[in-house]
Amino acid sequence: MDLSFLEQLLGPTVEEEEGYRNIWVVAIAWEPHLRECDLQVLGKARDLASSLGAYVNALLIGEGASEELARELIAYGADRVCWGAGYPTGPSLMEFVQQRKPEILLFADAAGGRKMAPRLAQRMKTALVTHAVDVSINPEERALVAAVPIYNGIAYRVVECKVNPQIATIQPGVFPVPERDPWRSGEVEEVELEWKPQPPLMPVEPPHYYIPLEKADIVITGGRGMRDAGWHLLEELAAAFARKYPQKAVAVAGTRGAVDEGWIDRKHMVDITGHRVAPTLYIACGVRGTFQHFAGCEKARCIVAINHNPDAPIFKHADFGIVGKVEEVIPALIEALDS
Amino acid sequence: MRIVVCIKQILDPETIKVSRSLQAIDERTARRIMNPPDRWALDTALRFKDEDPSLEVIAMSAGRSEAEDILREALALGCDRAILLSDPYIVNARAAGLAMVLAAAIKRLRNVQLVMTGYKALDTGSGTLGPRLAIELGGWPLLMNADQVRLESGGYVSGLQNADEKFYASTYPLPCVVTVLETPKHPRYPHGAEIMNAYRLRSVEVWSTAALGLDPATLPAPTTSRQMRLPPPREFGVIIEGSPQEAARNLIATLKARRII
Repeated sequence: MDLSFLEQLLGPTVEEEEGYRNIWVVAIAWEPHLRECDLQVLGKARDLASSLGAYVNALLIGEGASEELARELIAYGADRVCWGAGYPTGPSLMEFVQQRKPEILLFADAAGGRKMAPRLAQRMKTALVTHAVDVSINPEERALVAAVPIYNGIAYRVVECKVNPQIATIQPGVFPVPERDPWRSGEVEEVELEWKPQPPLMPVEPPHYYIPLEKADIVITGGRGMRDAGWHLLEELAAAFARKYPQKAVAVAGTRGAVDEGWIDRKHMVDITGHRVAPTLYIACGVRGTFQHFAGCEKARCIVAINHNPDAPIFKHADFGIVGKVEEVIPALIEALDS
Repeated sequence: MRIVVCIKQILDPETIKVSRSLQAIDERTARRIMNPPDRWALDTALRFKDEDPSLEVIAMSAGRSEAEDILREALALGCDRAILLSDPYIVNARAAGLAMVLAAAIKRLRNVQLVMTGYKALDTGSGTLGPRLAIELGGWPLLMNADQVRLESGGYVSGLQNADEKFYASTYPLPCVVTVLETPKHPRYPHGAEIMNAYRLRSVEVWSTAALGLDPATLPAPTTSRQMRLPPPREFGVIIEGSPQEAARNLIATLKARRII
């Protein structure tokens, strides 16, 4: 049968050059298990791949990497996994990327990726977006479009990549962990990169002034409105929460006003220039609620505000508000918790 | 031995405003300050100089000519030299290009053994300058997000590296790039007379891409910024009415019902 008319219909066939394609995720296993943040990135990569018509590949590195973990990555959505136990040197990682030509290369914005991604991007003089909270594809340009927080997250800048490979680090906890499908199939390949001898890690106790407010489940913050009530009430409220819910991490913090008054150290400040907390419960006592303060606490799942002024801006942001004097409401809260 | 501290001028986050109608950050009333983490880096370098006066601390900034002010402040704090890298190409350069410009300037100064900067700039917050410089300087080791940075004898620098909320004791040989975390000790601020002297008696050197022997066309610009977006405002909540005791009991009950506690 003569099918030459088809050729006319379709036009001359385009010889596709070997270009950059597919999405790659770099997963790091320090210990013999996968990190949740890498799985979240993998899940997002799957979404992006469907809008690009691309495969999702993964590179699994780190001392804990094994074939078993590589299969696990396939179960979570990768089509092909290259793995090697060790930490690659910069030039060999670059060579690997140049060989495999990923169109998009994603890292989790956590230990490892934070150091590796910018160094790789600078070596290759390629596009890099860091701390992305949202990523999508511009289908016309096949370009990665990412929203990155500026000024500690009060606004986002939308950045578009122009050069392949497009490298991005994605913040942990923004995207869900994809569902595990043990029946998914894919290829697993062991790769031999040039491994960097890793000096043994020497974990040390965090310095005493280091306060992991970001990890607290309940954060109780005081502002200038605590002047009459006394700062000790906040400590008592925190202690009451800790008594009632011993498994939760409770922390006391202050606004810029409280820090300026000298009631609490600057290390405990929730503010645009201080900590940016994301607890499940955030209780703001005697806090007026400037937007600089709000930038530090907007990620909280539930915000409770206690203030005597019903017009305080904090009530606009709070999920629950109690209008009343802090020195009356906080003891009542402690009582309600203890009963 | 010379120490270069890269400092950046930013808009003070405490003085900016957000305009919801324009979907933009209102910068008209904002002050320009030295990026606070960079001030920590500068403070750390000057503490090394306090211990060993033979060290030469050089403050360097790339960008607009307004950044001269923070360099004068650095001179007032006790830096030996201040260098501003500025021309129209540098002002428009993106992170990858800026790292190349800074690295070219650092290479031009001889005998630089330590390059320090803050762990991130509070405006863009990307924190990539340290790693980028380490590559551009030819693969220097990188002590990233470090606290308690010390110069050790025998040409080593040590510190506590923070990775995922854990701290690790690390030591690297010089030359090295260090990005510094904030520590609770208050950084130094200049004396008024020193600021006056910095303006009247000292000078800030200005270098351009041409002076550095860089071809501005080779500065990479692999990304473009499109627009600014503001997060959606949080929805209005409810005010719990009643006496303090009732309100407190209601609040705890509601939080329990919503499975928040």
